[in-house]
Parts: sequence; C-alpha cells; structure tokens
Amino acid sequence: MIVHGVRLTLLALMIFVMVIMQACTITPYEHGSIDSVPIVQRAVVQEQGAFIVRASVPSKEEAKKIFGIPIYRRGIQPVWLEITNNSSSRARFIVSSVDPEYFSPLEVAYMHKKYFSKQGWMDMEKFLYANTIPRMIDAGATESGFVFTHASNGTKSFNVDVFPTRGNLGIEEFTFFVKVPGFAPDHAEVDFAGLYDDDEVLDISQDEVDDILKTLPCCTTNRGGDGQGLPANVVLVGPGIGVLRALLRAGWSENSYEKNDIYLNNSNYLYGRPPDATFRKSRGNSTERNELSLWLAPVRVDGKLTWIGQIKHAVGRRFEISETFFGTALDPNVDDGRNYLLQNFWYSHSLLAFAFSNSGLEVPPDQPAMDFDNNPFFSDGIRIVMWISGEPVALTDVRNLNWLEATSTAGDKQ
Amino acid sequence: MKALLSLLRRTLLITALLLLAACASTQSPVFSIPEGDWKARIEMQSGSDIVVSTAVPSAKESREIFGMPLYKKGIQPVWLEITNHRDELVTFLPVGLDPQYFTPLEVANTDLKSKDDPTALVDEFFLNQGIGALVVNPGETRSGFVFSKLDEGTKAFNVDIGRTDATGQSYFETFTFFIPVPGLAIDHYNVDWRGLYADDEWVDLDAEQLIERLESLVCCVTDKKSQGSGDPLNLVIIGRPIEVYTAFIRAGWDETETVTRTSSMKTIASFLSGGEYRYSPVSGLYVFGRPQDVAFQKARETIHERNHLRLWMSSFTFQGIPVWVGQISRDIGVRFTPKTITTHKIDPNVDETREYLLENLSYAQSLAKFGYVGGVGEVSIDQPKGNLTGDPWFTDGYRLVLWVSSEPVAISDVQYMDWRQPYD
Repeated sequence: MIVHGVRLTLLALMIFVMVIMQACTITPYEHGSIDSVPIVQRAVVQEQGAFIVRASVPSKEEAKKIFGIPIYRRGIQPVWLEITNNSSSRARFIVSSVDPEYFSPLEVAYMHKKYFSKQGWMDMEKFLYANTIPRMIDAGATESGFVFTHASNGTKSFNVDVFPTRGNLGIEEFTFFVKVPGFAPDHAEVDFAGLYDDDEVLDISQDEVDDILKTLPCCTTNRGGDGQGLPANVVLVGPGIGVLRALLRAGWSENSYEKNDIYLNNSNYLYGRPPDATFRKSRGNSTERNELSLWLAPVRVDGKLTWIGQIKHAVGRRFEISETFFGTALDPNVDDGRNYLLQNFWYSHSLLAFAFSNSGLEVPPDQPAMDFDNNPFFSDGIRIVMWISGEPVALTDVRNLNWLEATSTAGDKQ
Repeated sequence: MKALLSLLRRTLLITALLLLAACASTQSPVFSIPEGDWKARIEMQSGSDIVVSTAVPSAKESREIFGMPLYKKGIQPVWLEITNHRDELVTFLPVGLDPQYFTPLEVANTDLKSKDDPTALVDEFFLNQGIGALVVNPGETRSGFVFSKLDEGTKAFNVDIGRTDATGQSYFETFTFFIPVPGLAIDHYNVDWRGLYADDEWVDLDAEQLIERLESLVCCVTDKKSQGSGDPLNLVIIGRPIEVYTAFIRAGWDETETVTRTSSMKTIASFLSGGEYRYSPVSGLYVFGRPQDVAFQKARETIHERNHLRLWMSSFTFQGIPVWVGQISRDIGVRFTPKTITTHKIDPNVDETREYLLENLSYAQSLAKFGYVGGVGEVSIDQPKGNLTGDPWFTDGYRLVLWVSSEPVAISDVQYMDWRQPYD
C-alpha cells in the first residue's frame, strides 16, 4: 500500500518534470540533402564480382548540413554507400561489416531528440530512416544511403560485404580507405622522396637483414641527440601505402600533429628528425593506448622500403595534457609493445612473414634504464622484422623465418 | 533549475529501485558454481602435439592470487599452460584470446597516482605471473597468466598457436574453451530442460508442420497474467541447449543473472554510474504461460545501450532438435513509465535488430542455416503497435529462423532455407 502511494507521488512528479522538459523544446527539425555537399562526387568506387560499390564519408560540417544535427559530437560518423547489384539474384548487404556496433537510424534520432519538438523528433526519425541504405538489393538494382558508424580520426577504413542470396556465388568483401575532408595526417606533410639521396640508400636482400640491423641505431634520442631514447625495436618492410593500409586495417588511426616546439621537444628522434608518421590505437579508455612512431630507413630490402619504428604503450592513470604523453606512464617492458604489434598485424591479415633479430639493446628488468623523459624501460634486446602486405593474408599463411632459432629469450620473463 | 530537477528525479528513482531490490531479496537462493581451489577446475585440450591447459580464477580467487581486486578493474586473469611436443618452435598469440589483453605491468600499475618514483613501475611479481614470451620452444612447457577483459558468467576464448615447419609450410591451430566462472547466478544454470514439459507433450515435427506451428503461434509476448500484447516474437532458434549457449557466447553475448539482492544492487550501482552491468537481470515477459527460460544481452557503451533477447523452449522439436521461440530488441535509451518506473526505450524498427542478429551469428560462425516464417503479422511504420510498456514497434511480420551450431561454420557455408520470402 505504501509502495503504491510512493509510486503515485513519484508518477505525478515525473509527469510534472517531463512536461517542463518537453516545453523547453519547440524547435522543428530541419535538414539538408546529400546534394548540398560534394560527397557523391568524391566517392571512391570499387568493382568486384557482380557488384559496384561507391563510398564517401562526410566531414563533421557536411554531416551537420545533411542531417541538421551535430552527429559527430555523439561519436557517430555517417558513411555513405551506393551498391549496384549486377548479378541475377537479390543480394544482401551486411551492415555489420562496416561497423559491428553500428547505430540504427532510429537510435541516432533518439540520441538527438532533445533538440526538437515531438513533431521535430518524428520528422528526424523519418529522414534518418529514409536515408539509411537498405540491406536488400534486387537483381539489377542500385541502392544508396548511410550507415551510422563509430567516428574515427583521419582516413576512414571499413569493409563492405555483399553476398547473393541464391546460387553458389560467394561473399564479396570490399575494403575501403576513404579520406575525410578537413584532416591532414602528419605523414602527408613529409617529402619522402627527398629524405635520402640515392647513394645514401642501402639495397640488401632478405638474408642480409639480420646483419644490417646490427648497424642501425638501437634507440631513438631526444631532439638535441644527446639523450637516450627508447629502443626502436620494430622494423617493417613494405611500400608506404601497404604499411598505411595495414595499420588502418589493424585499427590504428592517423594523427595530425601540430609540429610545434612543445611537441618537437618531447618527441623521440631518429636520423635527426621526429617521426615521419605516428599512429594511435586506443582501448576505449583514453589513457590506455598505444602510439606507434615510424621513420623511413635508408635501407631497401629486395627493393622494398624499410621502416623503423617504436611502439609506446601507456599504462596507469596519470595526467594527460591535450594529446601528448606528458605525465603518462609508459609500460617499461618495451618488448610487450613489439609482441603486440606482431599479433595485431597477424590478426588483421596484414603479415606475410616475420623474424626476430638479436640486434637491439638488452636491458635487464631488475636494472631498468631511463630514457630522456624519465621513463624506465627494459628489454630482451630483440627486434622484430615484419614483411607487411597491403592485401589480406590468411592467418594460416604467416611465415616465421626463425632467425632466433630455438631462442628462449624472445620476450621471456625472468 | 534543470540540475535540481535532475537531482530530484534521480533521488526518487533510487528510492524506487531500492524498494524493488528489497522485494527481490525474498527470492529463493539460486544455483551457482562453488569457489575455492581454482586449480581444481583446470581444463585440457590437445592438438597436433601441442597440449593446452587452462583455468579461470573467480573474482575472489583472483584477489587471493594477486592481492588486488582485478575483477573490479575489469581485468580477468586466465591461466594457461602450453606444452610443445613438436620439433619446431610454436608461437602463442594472446590476441586470439583477447584482442585487448592487458600487459602484466599495465595490470600492476592500474592504481598508479604519482610519477615520483618511475622505477616503481617495474613490478617483478606481476612480470613473473605473466605467461611471458610468445614463443614455446620444442619440448618446452610454458605457463602463466594472460590478463583479459572481464567476462563473468562463462569465459569463452580461443588459444591460437602458429608455426612454420622446416619446409616453410605454415600452420595455425585454434583451441576453443568455454569456462564457467564462479560468482554469478546465471538464469539458465538451473533449468531442467527435459522436465519443462510432460513426456506426452513433446512432439517432433517435419518442415511443413513446423512452419504451420510457428505461424500459428501468438504474435507477441504477454504479461504475467497472460494478458496484453507486448513485443513481437520475431525469432525462432533451432538447437540443443548447449548449442544455443555456445553459439551466443561465441558471438559475444553475455548471460543474464537471475534477480537476487546482489544483482539488484548491481543494477542500481550501474544506473547511478551510467556504467556497464553486462549481466543485469531482465524483466520477465511471458510465453507459454511462463517467463523466458534464458535471456542474453550484448552491452554497448552503457547499460542503456544494449541489445537483448529472450528465449522460450517450445514443446516441439524439428528433426529431434529443440525449437525455441524468442524476442529480440535493441535498447536505445532509458525512459520513465508508470508501470515499471524506468524501462528501456527500444528501437521501434524490430526487424533491424532481427537482421542484426543474423549478421552477428553468421560472422561469429555460430550459424548453420537460416530462413523465415510468418506469424507476427505486418505492422506498418505509420501505425505502429505498442509493447507492454507503451513503446511503439513496427515490422514486416516475419520470424527469423536460425539453426545455431556449436562447431564453427564458415560464413560462405551458411545455408538459406527457402521457406517464406519477406523481401519479395
């Protein structure tokens, strides 16, 4: 009985609160159209099997123009797709292939309903629903519309899987890398062709890599070149675009650093310069993330470019200022970062082969060294060399070249 | 003013939730797995001259081992022992176990507050508890913990091993484990499936009979008194209980706790913090005169954003395999209702969520076949129906039939059953 009374009072209060809240929003819903922005014109086109897929990603401003809501602010990035089915049967487009945790259109509307009147909310629902790409594409038909994905920084990388609903035709898997306006990644500002003169570059074969690595610097330095940096224990062999695609496919995001003095002073240097490219991968929680820095090395392996890199894994819950690692503790076991990257490439189907090389700096865990930024670190002194593919490689096809045959020390505990 | 109203609303809700929790505590105790010696629960699998043993300590046991409440930090240690009887070395890949595994020193430093003594970051105890190297040499046995993201209820994971033989040929072997972890009171642990119906109630059907039975079932769930018409029954699952369980666990769904005092308190805590309580009990909806036999949920970022589904085992089987009817919906927010104080607002487009499940199960390789039957009846977007808490929904009227598999099925091998055609 008492519970009943409480419930009634509660109900009355809630209705009162809701009425007040409703009254605050009388704004009608207004939207643009995809024709108001140049997203269709700049769409990336791919054709595979019986399907043609066009893809484009509106920027924050363009999305606001189309949908009339600040959709990026809620971490949502719309991806525009157009799929043409030239097969003789209906095809099914797998929405989850673009983002396994995509947002449904009516969910996006619900997240933004506070901006509008009730009628406005309903109008928004209708607009978002009507502009979502359908799952079914009839034989000979073309369908287009949006998928609402989680926002990412820089070049947007995603898959589009389509399969015919009849017959024995297999699934068609497209992978897209779509540039989003308003974002210039750090590597776009580097003149890679001008980094080295032709006579500076060493051409070697795969068999010589282990020996040549011993002549490359073990570690980075500070800006002045007089302070000890962390080990550069990752070596990637592959063309720039292949490495970029592999990293995007593995879930890394590009960075757009302002090359200001604060950043430059705190950066790690190799060959006398800050990283040519940096990438980030977070674990949802912003303090737990990895940062990868890459430098083009003056070495070509069987004619392929070679990149030397360093991976930093932030741990702990320390202060973080803006986007830099100031005050963030790094995992002192730098081998763990190296081992993670091996698996990350392997599982994202980007790894052709790998080998461990005993050419780095060995530092025992009971006597950790300090880098110029006061980060302790230790390492088994082993570097990893990975041959990277821009095209997918099956998990089962990855080759272990085994330079450290029968070693028991690769990443070993004490 | 807005802040004040919000505070008032929140206070009232807490009071209401506490009252509900008090009611829940009168329920009878439920079955759970005994805790204590985690090493007594070691499970072993062997492959081509590689032996993998594993055990998953509970929250309490982990605290005893590591002296830290790891579960509270969302970290779950998985103990592994890998023995390599081969002539070549093998590579163990922790990413296969958890793509976001934690490093030992990350776990050791979750409480780090000052940078005064950087060398304190190196915690030898945690370093030694980790499994260490990725490489297991010929004849070697390597053991230790991998620190994974917390999954209470059942821990499902793979142990992946790669190797390249002397001729340069590469291999990749996967060991899949489903390990029940003590600590939660999961809804389906104490169901006597066979005893749900009397012996003479069970009936085996052929395809035609099954379609007919499914299409003549009620459209929707009801309330406890078998009244009202709620969310549509838009799913049919065909599979034995163990197949249903492994299929959904592999696809990343969480089990559901029964309502107890503890689970109610956890729901309140997550409501207040806006954080996740992935195993939160779900309210009972009724089919065959009883609440769901099992519920699964898949949390996204907060408790308010999750998909959930309820299943009821029917008294009929198809080619000897149990047939379940179910209901799936996508929570898109929380709102207030006079009946249940708060409820989750569902996506009115229930077909969207139904098709999501088809994609989800096939990508998780948990699906053998699928097809459609009618039975719900078309409900248009312009004239939606309401569920028991007044949420609108609309549908094309079809039920998705899913044959689940406990063995992985490649997406290209999933079969389509040509029963009814919703998209014609």
